[in-house]
Amino acid sequence: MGRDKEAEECFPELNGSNYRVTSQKDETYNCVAWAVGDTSHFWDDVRVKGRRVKGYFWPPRLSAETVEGWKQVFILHGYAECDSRSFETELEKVAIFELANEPSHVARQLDGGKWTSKLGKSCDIEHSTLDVLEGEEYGKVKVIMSRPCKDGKRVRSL
Amino acid sequence: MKARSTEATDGPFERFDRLFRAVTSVPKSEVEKLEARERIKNRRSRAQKKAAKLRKAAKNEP
Repeated sequence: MGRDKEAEECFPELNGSNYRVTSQKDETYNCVAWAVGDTSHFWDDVRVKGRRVKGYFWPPRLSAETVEGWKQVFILHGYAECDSRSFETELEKVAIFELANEPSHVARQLDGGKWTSKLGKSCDIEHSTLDVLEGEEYGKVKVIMSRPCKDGKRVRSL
Repeated sequence: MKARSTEATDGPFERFDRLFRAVTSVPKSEVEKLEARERIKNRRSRAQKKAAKLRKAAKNEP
């Protein structure tokens, strides 16, 4: 699918050689949904009078406003915090970004070491490194988490 | 000083007109940039959440 002008405007480090668009724009799911492998919800804690709003999902009793809350979401999915963002064949990794003390984005590592990100309501992209999304919009990578691949497979290849 | 005295004598229409011209003079490309930045956000902002609550509450009112 090539490149996306909007994405390149928001993330100046993106260029023709370090990323490619892998989906159409889709407003119904976001980065967390994409990272956990559930594209049927926009993962955010949106409630009205204590009741969930249709189309949104967030695990009960966890905070959507803090990096710790996001970490807990991935702990629920079998991840644990680790130090290295490098590619390891038997490990599946996610990277949580933080901006102004709040979680802003999560990227998931693909087989081969590249990363995949859903950019909010926009498109999915495959990007060679995490650095290309660091900056004004998503801030910096704060936490790396990993889990063993299931039968040697990753979340979207199960 | 001249501009100030003009503003002081402006009626509501002139004031609105001046404001409207100021708002519409934002270049289209800037608006598109803001929209793009909004689109790549992975979380709904507090303002959006509050607006959704208000809309939902208004619907439920008799």
